[in-house]
Amino acid sequence: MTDVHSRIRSRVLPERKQRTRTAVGSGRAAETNRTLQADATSLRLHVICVVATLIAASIFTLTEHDDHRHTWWCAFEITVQTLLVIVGTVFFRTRQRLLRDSSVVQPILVMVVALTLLCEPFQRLFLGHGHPFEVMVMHSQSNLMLALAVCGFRLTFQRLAMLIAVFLTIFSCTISNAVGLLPLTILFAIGCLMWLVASWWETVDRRLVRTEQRRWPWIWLGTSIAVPSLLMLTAVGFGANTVTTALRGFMPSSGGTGQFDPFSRGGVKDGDALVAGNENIKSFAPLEDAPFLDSDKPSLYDVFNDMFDEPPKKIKDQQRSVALPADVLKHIHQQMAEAKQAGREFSLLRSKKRADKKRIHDLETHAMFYVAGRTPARFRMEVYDHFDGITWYPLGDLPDARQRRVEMKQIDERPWLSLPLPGRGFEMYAGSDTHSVKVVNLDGNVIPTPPHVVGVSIDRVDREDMYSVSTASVVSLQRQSIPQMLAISVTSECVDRNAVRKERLTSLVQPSHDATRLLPDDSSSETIRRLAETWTVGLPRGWLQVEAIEARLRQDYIVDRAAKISEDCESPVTEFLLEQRRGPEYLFASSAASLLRSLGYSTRLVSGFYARPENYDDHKQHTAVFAADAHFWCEVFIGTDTWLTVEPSPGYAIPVPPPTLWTRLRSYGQQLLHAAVANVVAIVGFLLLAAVLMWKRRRIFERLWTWQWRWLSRSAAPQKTRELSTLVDYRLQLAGMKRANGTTLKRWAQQPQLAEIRPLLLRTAEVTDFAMFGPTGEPLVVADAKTNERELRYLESVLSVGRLRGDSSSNIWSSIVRHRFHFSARSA
Amino acid sequence: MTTTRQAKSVTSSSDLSCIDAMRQRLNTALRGKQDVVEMVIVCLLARGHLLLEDKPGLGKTTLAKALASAIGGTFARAQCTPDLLPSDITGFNIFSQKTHEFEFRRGPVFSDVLLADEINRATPRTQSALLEAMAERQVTVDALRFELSRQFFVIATQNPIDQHGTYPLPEAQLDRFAMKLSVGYPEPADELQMLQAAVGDDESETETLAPILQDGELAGLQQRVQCIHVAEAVQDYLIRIAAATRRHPSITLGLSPRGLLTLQRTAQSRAFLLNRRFVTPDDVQDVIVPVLSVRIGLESHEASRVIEEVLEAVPLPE
Repeated sequence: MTDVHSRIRSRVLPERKQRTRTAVGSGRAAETNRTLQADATSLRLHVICVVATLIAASIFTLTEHDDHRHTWWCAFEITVQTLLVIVGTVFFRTRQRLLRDSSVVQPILVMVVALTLLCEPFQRLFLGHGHPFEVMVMHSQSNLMLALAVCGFRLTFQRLAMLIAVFLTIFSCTISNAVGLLPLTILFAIGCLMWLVASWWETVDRRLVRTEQRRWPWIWLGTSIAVPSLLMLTAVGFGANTVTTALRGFMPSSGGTGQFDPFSRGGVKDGDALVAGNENIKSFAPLEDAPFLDSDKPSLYDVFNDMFDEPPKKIKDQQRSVALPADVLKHIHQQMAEAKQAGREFSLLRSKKRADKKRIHDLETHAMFYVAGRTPARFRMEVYDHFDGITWYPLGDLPDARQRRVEMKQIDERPWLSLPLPGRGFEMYAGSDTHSVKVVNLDGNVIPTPPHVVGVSIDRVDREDMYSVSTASVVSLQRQSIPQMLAISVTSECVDRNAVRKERLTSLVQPSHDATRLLPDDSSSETIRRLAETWTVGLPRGWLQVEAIEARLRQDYIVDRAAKISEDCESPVTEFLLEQRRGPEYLFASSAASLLRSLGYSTRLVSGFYARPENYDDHKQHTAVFAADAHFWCEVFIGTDTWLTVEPSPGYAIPVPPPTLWTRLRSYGQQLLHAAVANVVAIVGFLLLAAVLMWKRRRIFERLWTWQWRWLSRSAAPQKTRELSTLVDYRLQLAGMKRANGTTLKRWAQQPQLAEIRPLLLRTAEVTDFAMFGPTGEPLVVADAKTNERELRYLESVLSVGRLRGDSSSNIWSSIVRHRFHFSARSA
Repeated sequence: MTTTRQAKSVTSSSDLSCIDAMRQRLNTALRGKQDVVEMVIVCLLARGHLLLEDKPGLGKTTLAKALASAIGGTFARAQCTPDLLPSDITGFNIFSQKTHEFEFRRGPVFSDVLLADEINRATPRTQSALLEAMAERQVTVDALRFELSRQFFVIATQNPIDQHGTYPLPEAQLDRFAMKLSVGYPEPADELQMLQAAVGDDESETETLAPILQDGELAGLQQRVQCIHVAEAVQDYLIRIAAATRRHPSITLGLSPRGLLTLQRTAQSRAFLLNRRFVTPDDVQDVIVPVLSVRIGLESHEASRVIEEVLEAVPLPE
């Protein structure tokens, strides 16, 4: 017995010693393994990370191509990087051992960054184009982020990737306003949120023992993300210029969107507050403080300060000006260029400081002035009251008693010239508009203001005697001209025509003063009156008649600036109305005024500018008003010093109040509906496809998985055998026989419903158990790899969903496959 | 079709025949209880001790005797009563009139298979003496250390009913047992066979049956069981099971590291019996109920339910 024991001991002890030695020797490796296991992440978390980083990279790519507008190249770049990341992720995820060691990953990451930077000189030398430094750096960060995401099977890399993604997205959103940026940013935010939640629960999950199996509400989660995304994509895809713009400005940010937001933070403001620059001011315009600094043009502001004890600089054409406070004077020594072009461009190519010493060239423009604010809008310049049949004459100001009372108010630390509006006894106004006007090439001292102006503000001009307001509410500066580059903010009330229509306003007949009702005393007046009566027959006196005449002119006549009235014509209005039926806007306005006057209403002609929405610069966020935008319309008196705009020229929008939230939503809905109707076939097809995909998603996934298993997995590898087990599990789930938690396949095969295929399941369990838990480093197959591969394929083909479900029809196929297997096995 | 290397034999043919013969011997002694017999062999090969908890007359002693006869060692039985002293278990020194020296009289623990019948009727002091011997495989009497048999195997029984005058084993001492099994009543068909076999049967024949295992063969089998491969994933599964028992609200005392080692050893033994050279989660699940039942301080029926919950909560290795 002792001999036997000693024999056993002598056989076993060396083995034990070896194991101990191996254990000591591999202590460090074991520790590394433990660290890696603690750092490992689930596939779900990895997928979320990859998707989020891909969105961030797409956002950056959009930003990068924002200036060039190479849409196809941009789409190509996004597609390529998406494909590369997906392939890389799948490759490294399935071969994690390749990147187990950090010393392997880190050089790769450094190489990605270095290669991105090194490509730039070659690109500049051979391709002739390159990127600015900051974009170059961001590009390298983007690539680093994607590389980290690919290696995201470790939580450390994922965290770093997400951090860079957030930084990249913030950077992109700061410098760009590209189309599609907003929805992508929203998607990115959703992705970030999902990643945070998933990583948190995964971390918690490692520390806690699950008392019950977690089940993600994938369907609801997917639906809640897919439906809004679908709507958003539909809106963006089918109606880029209509649907998305319907909600523009709904939630403006503190900078960059060009929309006014009273709740925006101080500092870099937006909308009418604009952007103030200190050093390199030539890049930003329009500016409040840009024009008057060190310019030889007549300025609104006097650079001489009473506190400054030196002789003032002589300016040739000194006009009235406002003394600047001391805190502003400290900036006047800086050399400024006149940025006539009201661009808000931000160049990525930055010159050095010494560039300021060079001569600065003005940026010329043909615009009369720029408008930031809602368009279309009319800006009144001159009002004409008296009409002799050929010529309109301004009546001039009435005695002081009838002039509007104005006063200066300080609102939000800005001086505002307040012009109170007379009431009409009902709520006629529906909202107000604020416009910022930057005057560029406008001669004269008249400030372009919309109708029903209630406030005018020029920065630091806080004296009301600097302004002059005429009886017709035309605001002008008390000086010869408005300085160029001057930014003026104007606020006006908007008339709700529906409210006017409801009131009928029979009091329209009340005369303002005689000049506004007079018509030439000739036969043409009678003709005009008969025509007006014909057009308004059956309508009660008042606003409805005004609208009828306006509508008739807009409907039956054509705006044609080339169609002039002959010089020898005695009555241009009659000629236009009865014969020519086309002409420039002043003929429309004069005709409308004459027709209304013939019915006894007080009217006047207004000349000014029409800010066209077509001239809106999406990037610079303003509307340029050119000389060609000079426009005429007329106003009708409705009593109590109130004149309403009548727009008889077709093609020019009838003034409407600013849309409410409900109006905007309704407009958005209508545009969406129109887009949907226009693309009904595509949408229905898409929805049907989506429904089918949704209905058959599990089956499709199972098929794809099977193909992947058959053709992409490495043959005769333990990994493939493990995947077979997972695949069979998924098929069991599809067959309604989902394996209970914690139950092994071998035990689950004992279910009575699986009696028919129990041997096959047991065999699968046996094979996969060996692959998963068998000794490593030993070949799985004794005979040959092909035989084993064939067996795995046989098991995979026999254990189909139908077979697991117990369908007899699937047995035909499986028997064929089995027969083929046996045949091939025999031949092998 | 079965060309994979897993079909390669783990145990030698002599091992297989030994185990089969032992299985047959035990099944003959205890009819219709193949599962219990299987677990008894698992426990034996895992070098663990067995606690049988069941009503009187269900074959506990018969099973122990059959096992003792099968492994070829000496069999001893200690009927535990309140007046049983530790020295009655371990042995004692007695003064010899002939030699005028103290001689050590060995107690029943010096056998190969010890049946401690109704162990809960012994006093805690006596229980401690026995349980120490089980854990250390040695006894110390009057400062002298005596090693026990290498194949020392204890089958203790206890009666779950009639608890008057008993001293329930504390959880810490229960941990010395590898498994707790309940024999249960046999099926009617098995009872019929038992009755038929008893007609004209000479009970002394069982005791005189030849041993199946030769001297040292059991130790060799136990050694080979210890060499069964346990993958890291399975060990991780075992650790997670242990953690789950420690956190389960119904379990007052979770699985100890010693219990964890026992669980792994019994799983190895189970794999060995199935002629497999590596442990799978199935093996763990096969042995987990008897292994945990003895440790988590719950009644048998409740223990099964709680262990089921634990298994459901712990994901299988992937």
